[in-house]
Amino acid sequence: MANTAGQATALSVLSPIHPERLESLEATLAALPLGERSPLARVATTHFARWVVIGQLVYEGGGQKPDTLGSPYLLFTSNFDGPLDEYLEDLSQLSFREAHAIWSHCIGFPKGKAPRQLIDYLMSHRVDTTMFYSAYPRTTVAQIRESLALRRRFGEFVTRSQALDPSALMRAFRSAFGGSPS
Amino acid sequence: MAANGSNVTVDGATTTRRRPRTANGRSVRDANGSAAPSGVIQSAGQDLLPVLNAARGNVDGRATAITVLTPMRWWGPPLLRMLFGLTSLTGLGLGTLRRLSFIHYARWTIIDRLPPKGSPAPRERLNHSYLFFESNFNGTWDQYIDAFAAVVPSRMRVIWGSSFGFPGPLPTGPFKEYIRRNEFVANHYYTAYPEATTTMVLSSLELEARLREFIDRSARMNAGEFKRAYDRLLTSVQRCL
Amino acid sequence: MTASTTCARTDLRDIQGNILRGYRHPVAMHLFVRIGDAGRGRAWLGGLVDQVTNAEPWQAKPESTVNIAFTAAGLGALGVPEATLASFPAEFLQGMAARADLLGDTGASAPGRWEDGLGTGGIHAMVALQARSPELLNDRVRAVERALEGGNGELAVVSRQPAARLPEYREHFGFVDGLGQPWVDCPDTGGVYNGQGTPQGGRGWKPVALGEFLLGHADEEGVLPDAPAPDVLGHNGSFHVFRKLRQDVAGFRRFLRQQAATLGATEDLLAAKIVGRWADGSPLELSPDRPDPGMARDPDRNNDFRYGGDAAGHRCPIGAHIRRANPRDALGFDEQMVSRHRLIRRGIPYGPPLPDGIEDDDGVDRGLLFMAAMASLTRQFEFVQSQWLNDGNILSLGTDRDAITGDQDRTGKMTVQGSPPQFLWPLELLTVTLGGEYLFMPGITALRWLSQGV
Repeated sequence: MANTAGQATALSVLSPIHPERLESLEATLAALPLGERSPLARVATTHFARWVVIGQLVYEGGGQKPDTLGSPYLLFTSNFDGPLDEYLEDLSQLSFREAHAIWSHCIGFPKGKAPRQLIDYLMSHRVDTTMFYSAYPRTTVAQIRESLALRRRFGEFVTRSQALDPSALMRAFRSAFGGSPS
Repeated sequence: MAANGSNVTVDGATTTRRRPRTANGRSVRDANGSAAPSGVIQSAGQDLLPVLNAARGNVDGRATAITVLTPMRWWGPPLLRMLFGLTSLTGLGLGTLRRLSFIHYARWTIIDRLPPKGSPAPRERLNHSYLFFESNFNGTWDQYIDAFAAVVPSRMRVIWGSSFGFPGPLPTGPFKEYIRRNEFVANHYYTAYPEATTTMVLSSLELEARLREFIDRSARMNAGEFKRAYDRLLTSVQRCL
Repeated sequence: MTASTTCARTDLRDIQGNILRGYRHPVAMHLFVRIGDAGRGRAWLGGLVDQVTNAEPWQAKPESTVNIAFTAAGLGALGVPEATLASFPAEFLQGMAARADLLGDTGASAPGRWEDGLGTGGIHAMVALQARSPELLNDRVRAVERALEGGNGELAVVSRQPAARLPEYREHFGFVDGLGQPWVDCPDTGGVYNGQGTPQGGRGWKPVALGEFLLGHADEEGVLPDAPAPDVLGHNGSFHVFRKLRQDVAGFRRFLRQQAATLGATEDLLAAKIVGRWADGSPLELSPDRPDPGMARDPDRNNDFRYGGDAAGHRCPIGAHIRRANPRDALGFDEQMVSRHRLIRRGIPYGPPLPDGIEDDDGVDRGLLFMAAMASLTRQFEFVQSQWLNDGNILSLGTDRDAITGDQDRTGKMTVQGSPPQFLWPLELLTVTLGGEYLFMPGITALRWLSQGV
């Protein structure tokens, strides 16, 4: 069981969808804003996350006996910083409206609108990850964003300061990045 | 043409898709990532109509999602659990993955039952376990699969060798058809740093460490010393810029 | 289709000439033709086929040459059935204009501004003519134009793109061009020189599989490349990129002068750092400090290098043009990341040269008719253009783009690696796409098949 790598955690949730509500679910997912405005963006510890509708399992033949699902499934995966319980708390608080709208299409989703119920439903549909890989297991989203911003700023500084004499260079650098003796 | 190729009508011309749809029937990204429908044909003399991008479900900035679910032969789950367990414990075998520097985050999961144990819904009667693979990577889908098939074919064989229908990693043509058949396009995909690739993130982290160290080290230097130290810093971080 | 690992004489007779070996004639004309009637189009093609130059080795170079290629719209215009068209790759059917975002054809290079109907679907065939002299060229051009006349003008030339080589086979920025061509696994296709193949071992080279450039032959994976159906249409055919690239020569000279002043380097060295070769063609990798005219003139030496001993890019910058366009051994993993992305280039300059020393634009259109042959537009041209030239990630250069051909917006930089490094900034837009097409260049048998209709 490998649900963590460094400080990062993997969550996979598989929940059966009411077959007659499949179209509505797909429309709901399609209508979600993308990028920074995604409901998943509100949990700032999220590196990568996705919702995928699994309509039917693939039949490959060659000795495989066909498996037919009784209902389509909604797969949700997330790669995030910190422990699972904190993530689910955040998700259920910050993105409750959308999460509820999406998972209420699923079989067994409780009536009622308590965040606790959403968390319980997700936990009871969790699938353990067998192997989890991260290119930066010890680095949080916040650290990555800060680092990327610093790289941009330093890249800009470096290209614009080539003609400066040493004193001007030192002044400009310290003004941009700090470090002058107090 | 694959078995589940289908007819598509585009601007009045009926064509058959050259490549199969993915397993969840959503439009396939072509080799370079623009999700334009294949088989757009212009009749003689007509202006070329702009090709509309279908929903780019698997793409967010420079990040691409791939989600694959394959049926496994009976001996697959115990074998992979052992091998994955070993890799998780030792970290061995991940070196090439890191060096290829395509993947931000990836996971493999063996699914024995649906729905998961805690669900109140009735249990599906599955004849097989399923290998679920998801990755968040950079570059094009083709580039990604080409790289792994060429560089670590034995790894591909170990992971997917126990899945029904796996044709082997090389040549890449049949392998890509296989992945496409078993791939599900994401309905919603979110990434926290869409503008950055794995390599850029790693470069940024290294640059930051060296820069912070330089800021401390140079705090008391005079202009001449500073300039010399700054040049040494640039020399050491130039591959990160 | 049976796979062949080497091509036979019979194949060379069936393959159009300028795919496997460049003619290197001094003057050329590209006639872009619209076919308004399938029957007339086929009849015209039938009349032309016997004149089409093939790839047979010549004792004496033919005095003039004719070759022909078709766009997806053009194949449709000849009456090729829908099902056959649908067997072509998606990117070919969409056409180059539709791929603008991927290729970096934005802003000044956007297809909306392309000239002469290029990229609109209104161009059906490209007749490429080359000759030893302008007079001979004119004769061939007139002959082709006469054959198109008549009827109700169903066949028309909608664009004429002339080209002429500059002295010493240079291009307009002043660099000797065309030095890095792939060594293709096919005998009788001209000289084979060190450095053209895929690096093998420490010093050796191996040829690139024929199927990387020609359909119906085994590619680098040992299988047949995807090809259209039926076989007769695809066999011995090749995909062709045509791209008219205007070069801002005055802008390049101004850019060099300004950057040289800022960085305290000579213009010649900076230019070499940008390209990866000195203007005379000698490679930086072998001659990092000054040009080497003897090496430059020797085809067995001017391309015989690798980047493995210069991983840091201090001799030839990692983002230099030729290093981006063909990284050789620089990407590791036994060249697996490189060998399937080679291009056969057949470009020719167009327009008169800008006299030396002039830094003000004279308003004259000049540049390169970039042309290249390959088996897969997406894996070869589009890949190199979008992943290696217009991006830097694979080379660990972030979002840096090629300094001379990249889609620049005055915010980009190029790192000249060194101790310490220097930075060319801001990069200027020096190359603009004025138009282009994806074309299919069929084998001779396929041309006959097309002319007969189905």
